Amino acid sequence: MMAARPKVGMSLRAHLLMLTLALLAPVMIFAVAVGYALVEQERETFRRGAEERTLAMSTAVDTALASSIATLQALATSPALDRNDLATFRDRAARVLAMQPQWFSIHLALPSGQQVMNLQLPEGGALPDNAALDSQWQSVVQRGAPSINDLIVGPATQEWHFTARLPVRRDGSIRYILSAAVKPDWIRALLDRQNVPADWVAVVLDKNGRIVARTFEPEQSVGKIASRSLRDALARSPSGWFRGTTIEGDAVYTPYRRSAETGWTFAMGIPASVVDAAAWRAGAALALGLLAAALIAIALARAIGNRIARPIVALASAATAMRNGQPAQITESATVAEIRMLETTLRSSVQDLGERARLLDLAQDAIVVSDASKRVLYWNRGAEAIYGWRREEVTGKILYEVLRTEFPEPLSRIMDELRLADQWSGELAQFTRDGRRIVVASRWAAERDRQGELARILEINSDVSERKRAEVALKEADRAKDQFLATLGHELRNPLAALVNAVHVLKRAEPGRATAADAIGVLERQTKHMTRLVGDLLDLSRLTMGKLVLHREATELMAVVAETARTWKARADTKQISIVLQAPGGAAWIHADRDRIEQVLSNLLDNALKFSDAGGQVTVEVRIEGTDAVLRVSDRGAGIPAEALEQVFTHFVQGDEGRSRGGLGIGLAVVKQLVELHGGTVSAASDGVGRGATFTVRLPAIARTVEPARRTEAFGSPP
Amino acid sequence: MSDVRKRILIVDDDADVCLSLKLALEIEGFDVQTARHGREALANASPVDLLITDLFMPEADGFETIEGFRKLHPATRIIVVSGGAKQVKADYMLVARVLGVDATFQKPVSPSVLSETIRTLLGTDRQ
Repeated sequence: MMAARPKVGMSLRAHLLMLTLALLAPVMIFAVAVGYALVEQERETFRRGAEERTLAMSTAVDTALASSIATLQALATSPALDRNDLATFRDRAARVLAMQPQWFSIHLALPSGQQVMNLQLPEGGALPDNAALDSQWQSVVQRGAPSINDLIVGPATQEWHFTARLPVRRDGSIRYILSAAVKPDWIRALLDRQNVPADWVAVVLDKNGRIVARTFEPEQSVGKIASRSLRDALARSPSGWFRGTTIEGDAVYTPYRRSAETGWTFAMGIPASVVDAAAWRAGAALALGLLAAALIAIALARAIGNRIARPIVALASAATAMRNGQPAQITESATVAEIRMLETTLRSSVQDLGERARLLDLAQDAIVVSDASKRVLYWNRGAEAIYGWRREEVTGKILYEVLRTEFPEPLSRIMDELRLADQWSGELAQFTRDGRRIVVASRWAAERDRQGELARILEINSDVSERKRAEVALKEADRAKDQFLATLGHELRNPLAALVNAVHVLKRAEPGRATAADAIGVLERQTKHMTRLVGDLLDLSRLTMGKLVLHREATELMAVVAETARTWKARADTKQISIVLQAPGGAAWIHADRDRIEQVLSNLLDNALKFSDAGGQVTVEVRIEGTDAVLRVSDRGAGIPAEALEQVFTHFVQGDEGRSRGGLGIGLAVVKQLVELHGGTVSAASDGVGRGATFTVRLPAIARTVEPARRTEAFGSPP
Repeated sequence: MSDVRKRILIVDDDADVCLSLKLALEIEGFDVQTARHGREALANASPVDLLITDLFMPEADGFETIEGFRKLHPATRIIVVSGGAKQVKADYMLVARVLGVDATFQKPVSPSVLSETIRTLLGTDRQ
């Protein structure tokens, strides 16, 4: 699973690559500088080698020329010259010339320049004058030292040659100048023997800068003037190194040296490409090395970067998943210590957060997180339970719209308070999904973003509807209890008053008189009344605490009704009220505690008689309706206001009429509890005040044939 | 015993209270009549010497009865014998005394004590 790429910022891998390049850059710069120095040094080394070679070759040429002079000196010692015996000397010179293949002639001249012997010309013939032929002749005579002359074209041979000249002294003065004409080929052969690389050019120049010998195109080159760049260089310095061009125009590096002895110059033309290639090879090798190093560094950075980045990317994915409430997988596999630490910490954080999330779902309160506009971001199971809306149904919706919240003050004011104090609490009325209105105690806390603006609202709502109802009910119960105690006082005082009076009468009256009989009647009735009052109280107490036990048996309802009605006839008669029994369907069997059913009917009759006026009628009806045995007691008395119908079965509650007609207000409560204990229901109906009331008791009917034995037994059992 | 028996009217919605008190006062020598509620008492044509009434009854209650008697029969002495307030704990006996009742008792009251009070009020000492 890939984490969503953040919109801003470079990836970690890119950062690591940047780091690598940043480290590499100065190294590269340094390497290039070193490389440049290396190339220069390479060039310098090359140059020094070339210069050494130039010196060696220049020396070799000098030596060769010196050897020619030495040979001339050896010839000059000939005694024939002492005697001016030119014929003998000619023979001797001829023998020497034969041993010097590089020489093509030897001649002897007077200092004036007039030749006196020339091996190329026949003996005795006319000989040329050197002074006319050689511009340097006078300087040779004046210096009186051996010299190598510049290249000239021989008048006889019409070929380029140069001449080695030796002044021959006799008796302290110069008598002759001995000369040897040398072929330039000799110098070229010397150059050829030096193993100069094929693409190089070695060249020897005379003092005039005329080419004596050259390894490249030797025949065509002899006698030509050296290249301009070489002549310029010679003008600047007698030896050196420069980059120039050959006479053919090729780019060359040239080391050169002019000999101090002969004034001749040796130079080499090394193709620039050769020198530069060496430098460039070194540079290229360096560049290639650098490139390889950079590539290796980048590859290593990528590899290491991946090792660092992969666990971080995985952590980021896990964090995202966690935030979305999905299970976050964190493997502690990072090789970087700090990341491993992060993994360990995050893993325990994930565990903690998971626990917190489960804890939130354990809460019975509704826990909701919403954004500043009250759109739901989080919704716990408690909220689902209280409101009936599932998390995915409300996420993103506006909370108070979904719940139709009624705020105690305008929402804007609540939000102001929240912004000011960071929290708010109060009671809200809200509607659940199924339309129930509930009251919640609500507490809000503000979460701010980095700018300090309200970003999210944390909210906990406790459903206090039950508590509210209980509080109301408790208050009502308390009021009813006070009312009951007052009623109880009143209801007990009346029978007590009657009893006290009756006892007083019996103490005074003569026994057997009508007065005494009346007093005894009062005693009987009032003690019975009080017994019933106390019995009702105790029953209600037992019923309320669930301690009343039913002794159920198959019971015929009409029989119970008939018997109970009989005991109430006297009371009805005193009020001139008739009790009418109706059983249109005949017997109705139920599974019941006979005494308790009697009690139910007694209480209903007591109630009916109480609210009926003299001459009234109370109807008791028994019938089967569906699966129910129905007992219905109707009167034509005071009736019940519609708004009080629901409350008549609540203990201690009496209508205004009831208060003035006596009674504890618990009779109907006992009826309801007893009937429900039997698995039945009781309801009250009235057409309104003054129009009588009907109480209907429904008990599950059972199929039963008459079993007289059991009935008798039931009748015989004590109440 | 005086020659002329004093006439007393008892008003109480509880039949047995009425009956037992009538019997007790008759033994004490009074001529006793009963009524079940105030309207019946006020309808009674013959004036009586003394009225004993409960305060809370159906039809006209004790206060109305007292006021009616004060108007119709100013000479009739009035004693209130009440079971006490049924609804709240206000002192209705105090209210009755303010209305000009001669004596007030809370049920149950001993017939002897009641007789003594009646005789005192009617000036018919036994001796």
